[in-house]
Amino acid sequence: MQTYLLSALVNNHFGVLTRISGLFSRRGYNIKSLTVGETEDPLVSRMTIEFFGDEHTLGQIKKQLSKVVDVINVSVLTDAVSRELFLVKVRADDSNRETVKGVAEIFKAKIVDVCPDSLIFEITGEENKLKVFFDMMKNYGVAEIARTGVTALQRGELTK
Amino acid sequence: MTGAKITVKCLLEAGVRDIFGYPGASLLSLMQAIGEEKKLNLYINAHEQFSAFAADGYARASGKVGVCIATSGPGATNLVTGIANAYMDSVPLVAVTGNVPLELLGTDAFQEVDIAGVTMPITKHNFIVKSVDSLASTLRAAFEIAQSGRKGPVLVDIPCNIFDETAKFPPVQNISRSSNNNPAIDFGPVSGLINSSLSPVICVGGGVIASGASDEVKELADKLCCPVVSTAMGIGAFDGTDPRCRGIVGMNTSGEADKILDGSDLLIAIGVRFSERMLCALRGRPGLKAVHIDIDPAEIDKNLSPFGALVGDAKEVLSQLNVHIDQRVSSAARCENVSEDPGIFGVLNEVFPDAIFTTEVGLHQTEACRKLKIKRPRGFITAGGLGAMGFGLPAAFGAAVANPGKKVINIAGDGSFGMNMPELATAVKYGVPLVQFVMNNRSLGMIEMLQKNRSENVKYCDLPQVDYKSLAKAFGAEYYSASDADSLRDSLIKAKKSGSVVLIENIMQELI
Ligand SMILES: Cc1ncc(C[n+]2csc(CCOP(=O)(O)OP(=O)(O)O)c2C)c(N)n1
Ligand SMILES: [Mg+2]
Repeated sequence: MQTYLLSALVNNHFGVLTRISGLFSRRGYNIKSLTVGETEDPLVSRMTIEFFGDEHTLGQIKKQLSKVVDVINVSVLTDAVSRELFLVKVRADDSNRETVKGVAEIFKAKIVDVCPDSLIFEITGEENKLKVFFDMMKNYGVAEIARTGVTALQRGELTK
Repeated sequence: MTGAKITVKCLLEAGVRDIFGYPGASLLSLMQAIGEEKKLNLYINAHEQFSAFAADGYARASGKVGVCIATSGPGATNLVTGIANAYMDSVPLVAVTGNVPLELLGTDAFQEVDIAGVTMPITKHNFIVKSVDSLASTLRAAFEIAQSGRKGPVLVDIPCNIFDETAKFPPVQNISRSSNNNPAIDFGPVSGLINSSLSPVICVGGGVIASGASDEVKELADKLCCPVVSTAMGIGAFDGTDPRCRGIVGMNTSGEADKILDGSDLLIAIGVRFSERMLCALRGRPGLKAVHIDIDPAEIDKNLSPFGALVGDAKEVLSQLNVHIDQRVSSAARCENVSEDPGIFGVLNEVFPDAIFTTEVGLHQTEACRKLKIKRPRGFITAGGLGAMGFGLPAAFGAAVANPGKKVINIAGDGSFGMNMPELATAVKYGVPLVQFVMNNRSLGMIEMLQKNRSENVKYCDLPQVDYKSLAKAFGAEYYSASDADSLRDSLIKAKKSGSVVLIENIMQELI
């Protein structure tokens, strides 16, 4: 069992996301995250699917996805740049704001909102780094978090 | 040209002649346009579920795409079981539904249902047409998707105002679909497994019929001098009267097929999907390896990891594979034919050696699968995957519409007949001379049997006692009864001579 990243180019229609998420839930594929966004071609979206499981299920996901009429191409990413973005709201007031900022700097997290008793940090990177950041921030009290899910691109040659 | 006329032109262009459906307010313009087109026949069934089942039976009997239409809301939801049935058995179907006008979509208007959402998991693909300009291209795509690759149902939902809006009828665009120029297949591993096997057996499934690969299967069996078994969906793919045809495998397996598998070391599975019911055939037989040939790559390695596999249309794959297969000298039959007494089904075969048989779901169905001898592909039509009671009679109607002049016999249980009784009147109305053969055991026999097998009390399986003679009369059908082989033969011969709809009640002493 391990984590795999799949990248699918799909038609940029309404309903495509429902179709694909429906397929995953119907067949019981355990998806960790799924992100979608328009590509350089406005008619096409890229879906990045993070899946934790075995190779057999990975093969099935790939084949079942390829059958969906709106799916143009599916590939399993082997050597990819992958990123996720977290927005983390941390409890911070005059007593600890500087400490929290100091820790955040080490992670190159950006402050995007300041309130008398909280800060919101924006941080991007590989999942592991973000998790460590999040764990650190828990020490000060995390009020809320929003994650985008992983998006990724294969290095080098085009995934068309 | 109006959207309604565009729809009609697209249907004609796709070669459609017969449509099954049911009226409703959202279909008014389409119905007018269909009515004005002499080449199209619209059959109005008794319920939208039957329209879908009839279109399904039509498709299975003819190899063409079945077409059904229904109105928004309840009309569309009534199609659902029929669409699911076609999906499970990979039947090419195009369902067209009217919906509320575009501007009311999403407002919970009267009779509005998101039928595209409802049918997403049971269609190969579906569409909501949002503009009359995309209507023709959408309908063309629907027909193309329904019959390409692994076939299946496609639903096109059309907000009713689009039928009245106008657009130019666009010429067919020669979209060169990313030509599936399959990379050259390596036949070596699979032909090696086959050539080195000691006692192979071929198993045919619905894919052989869908692909029209019966001749190629026969050639393979001739070369290997081996027996052939089938799944329920594959019945008729290999001539059932050929002594090499040894019945069906799986949960309702024939004893004979079981013996054949016991003595085999290689199962050559063609156009099957190894459903859990079929996998029973391999369980407990560790010496039996499988090679798998199927058009759907997702079926390979889904429920079973085969020792070898070939992906592609059965006819194309086999015609190439056969070249690599060594001719064997015929050896003595691997086991004697130990056919069970065909009973009722023997008489049916005797009187109707060449008919199309459809079935409902229950003991009568499993017995028919085991005992009827079907000579030709598309000669046996049954709800294999969904097992939907109520399928048989409308499917027989569709099959008869597709094959004028051919006898179509629906083998029904009394319970299943209860689900689609009014469809008998539809057959009378259109003068489609099918034979409704009811095996009346006064019970939901299969459920009764399951309860008994679990040593439970028999509950909820008794059925209302119907006077079928009066029923036939009320609907305008002929009625004959049978209670033994002789009276059965007499009744069947009368039915064969008759040009009308015939109801035969076969009174059963036992459940089956
Ligand atoms: C629509 C639907 N509902 C319920 C079932 C479950 N079921 C399977 S067989 C059966 C009994 C069928 O009775 P009948 O048609 O009389 O056939 P018999 O088994 O008596 O030959 C039932 C209720 C089903 N297959 N389909
Ligand atoms: Mg019964």
